[in-house]
Amino acid sequence: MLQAIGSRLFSSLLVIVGSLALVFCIFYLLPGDPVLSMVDPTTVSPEVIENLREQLGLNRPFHERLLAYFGDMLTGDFGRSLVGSEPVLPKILHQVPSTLLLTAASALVAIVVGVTLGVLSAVRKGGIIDLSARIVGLFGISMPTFWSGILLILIFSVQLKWLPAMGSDGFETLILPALALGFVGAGSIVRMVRGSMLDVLNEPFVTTLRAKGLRERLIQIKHVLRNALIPAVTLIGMQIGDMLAGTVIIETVFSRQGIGRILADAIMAKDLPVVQGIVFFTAIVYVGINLLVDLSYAAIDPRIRRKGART
Amino acid sequence: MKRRFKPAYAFGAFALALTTVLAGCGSSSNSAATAQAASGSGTATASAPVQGGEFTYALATSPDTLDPRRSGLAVSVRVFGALYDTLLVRNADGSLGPSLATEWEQSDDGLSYTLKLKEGVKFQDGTPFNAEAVKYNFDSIIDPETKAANALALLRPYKSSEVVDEYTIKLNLETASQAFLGNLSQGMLSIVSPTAAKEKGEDFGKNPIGTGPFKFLSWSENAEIVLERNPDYAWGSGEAKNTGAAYLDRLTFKIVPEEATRIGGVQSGQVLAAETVPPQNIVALESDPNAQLFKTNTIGLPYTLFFNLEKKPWDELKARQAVQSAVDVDTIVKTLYLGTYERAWSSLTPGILGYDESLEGKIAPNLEKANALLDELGWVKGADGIREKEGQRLTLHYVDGSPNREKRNDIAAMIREQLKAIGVETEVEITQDIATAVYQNWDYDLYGNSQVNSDPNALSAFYHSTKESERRTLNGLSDPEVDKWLEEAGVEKDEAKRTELYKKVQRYISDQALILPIYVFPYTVAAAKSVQGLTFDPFGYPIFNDVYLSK
Repeated sequence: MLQAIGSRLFSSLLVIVGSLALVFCIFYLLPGDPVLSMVDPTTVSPEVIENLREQLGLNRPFHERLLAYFGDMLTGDFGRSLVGSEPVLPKILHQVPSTLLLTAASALVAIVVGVTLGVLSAVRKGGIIDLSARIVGLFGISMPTFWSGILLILIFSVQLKWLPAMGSDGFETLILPALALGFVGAGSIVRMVRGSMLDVLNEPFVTTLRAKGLRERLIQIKHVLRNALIPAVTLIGMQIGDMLAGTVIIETVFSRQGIGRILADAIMAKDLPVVQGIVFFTAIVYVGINLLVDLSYAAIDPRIRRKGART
Repeated sequence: MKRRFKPAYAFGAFALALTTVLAGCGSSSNSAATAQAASGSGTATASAPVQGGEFTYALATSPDTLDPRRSGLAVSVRVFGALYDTLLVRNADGSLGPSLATEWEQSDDGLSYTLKLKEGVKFQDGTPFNAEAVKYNFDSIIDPETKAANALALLRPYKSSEVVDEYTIKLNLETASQAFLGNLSQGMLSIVSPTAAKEKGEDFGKNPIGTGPFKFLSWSENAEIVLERNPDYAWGSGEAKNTGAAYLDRLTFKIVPEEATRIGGVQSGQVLAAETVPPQNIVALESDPNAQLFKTNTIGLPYTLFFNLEKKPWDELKARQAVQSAVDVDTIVKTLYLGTYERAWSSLTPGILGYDESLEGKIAPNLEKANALLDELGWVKGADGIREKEGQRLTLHYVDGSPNREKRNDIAAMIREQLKAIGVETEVEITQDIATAVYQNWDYDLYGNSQVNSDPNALSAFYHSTKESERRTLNGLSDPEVDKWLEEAGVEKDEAKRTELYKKVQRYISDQALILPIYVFPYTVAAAKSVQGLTFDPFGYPIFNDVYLSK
């Protein structure tokens, strides 16, 4: 198990370094110039623009910039933003809690709604709950978050005035964005849990359990759900990753603070140091989530726990 | 095991996809200069101002920095007005008025200005405002280390300062400039505290200190910028009626990019005002009993489509005139903006010195004339209705930026349909990278731009010929006569003569069909009924010192 985690960490490191280098290259190759998006090219003279390039180190050759970037990063220096000239690391760290909170809240919505509806619709197949679960699944997967986000604002903020439409301080401001983002995850989880519950319910061991006279509720929760959860957990891990990505849109729609919003702004302004800093941070979170997913297999499934030593 | 690695790689794909999609969305939101309040349709009922309260004002985009010397965004200037003062102010009638400078005098050769400064003014850190402070401000703008861009463009041709005495300063210029004095009234040339600027260095933009009616309290990124009342303020000027400390305890700018959320915030009461209202909401808000709408037409250069004179056949007057006669600007502006935007007629907007009203109504759609002009040039309609000449199809390469700012992409689509009627094929290219397509490769036949500015000298940057070493203009026009008019107008002290020169330039531009003026952009603000005393200066920026909140 330790060895597995070790090799896992190594390949994760490769993924992180690789993505940083790739993003660097993309920024280098893409047409466009951060300086030209900072100033008004019709009034600001070419010499001023040249001076800005020099001050920001943008006129140095590609390999020098790439090496300098990784060199600085090893010493913990992520550089300064090209736009606001503030240091990148504090800028990002300051916004991280808000994004993590939103991701966690959305994941909670997705898991609670997804697993509950998934289980209920499998055991009451064909009923009203099953129908509503399938509707949730369909809408969750097909509704873009910016659309459902705006709908939630129009209904709960503008019309009913129950919840705030914007901001990121307090529990109240978390509800609408977490619902908008969590519903997408819930959509996929409902379908996955329902499907695998139905599969497991048809397996011979369930018939055995029934024949032994166990209570149906106990069979469903203790035996069937537990077996059905393994594929669902993989999906949930990936969904949390998607939600982290989804914050880019949701944070903008609900005017929340967070790294998603900074990332979108930084990409628009071609502010490479900020983009790199966020790529680095996001990569670490992704890798961490995947590690947790792996560990949770062992918790759910004793067979994996026992085999663990060999993998 | 293999399968479980997938998400990690999927991450890489996500990052790449996102980077590729979003990169290149270069924001073109920079507007160096200024705007003008033509009319505020808000309903401010007169009653005694009430002290206290917090005014929340939702901005569509985030300021880049609160250091006016380094900023490149007009949205920052909305905050500068509360934090800082400028040396001069532009009055509603377009004249210049005193602010931190009380008197000014131009030398006979036009190469220097001597300014008397207001006494007793203090920065919010307690340090005094004086001639040394002005000298520091302007010298630091021309220092390359400061990385000033838009402020530097406004301060040009400033050379040096001489401190005559504590409250007198002499500003020396490289060359004479009639636009210089007016530029001193622009927010990007606001005066910062030298002590704080030196101490904070690059971090001054997040810890700004000025002389304005509001002090900086906090900035949490992408959420809000909070300012509080400066109780010592006693030197208000310009259009603000209240010259003392502000009525509001707090002024909070919320950053709310999504327009439905922003306008919804006013309707749900989460903010008291929100800027940049979409046309459909303007129509609805004008009849909403619970809200008020402020609309201010900006001045400068309207949204204008420029022909690239270096591309054939658009170097020929008749070809350009044909397009000018075929495009129905009225229909475009009415359809897209539901009557909330005004159409433009000239290379300048109304409300700016020298605007030529005689050009209004001079151009009318006339397809017969347009067809006749193209016939004369020998372009003959082919089988598919598109004109041809010597095997070449008559095409117009129309470049526009993305995202679809102010529905400009829709203008392109409508013009494409209108030009089809006279046998011109329009190739619309929507790109996220205007900087490369337009300002590096100059690869377009028609491209649109606008500029907010308070001085007609703005025309020089668009219509004066350029040297080999300089960046060319959007038209690429090179006409010694126009150069002469623009140069004379740039230094002419007599306003009537200046006006006449700029009118000549505008008529020339119109007669030569160098451009298609499209619309004048209105700065719009939706506000709750309780907001009183909100006005806008002639630059189109809000004045907060008169604002109070009624019960």
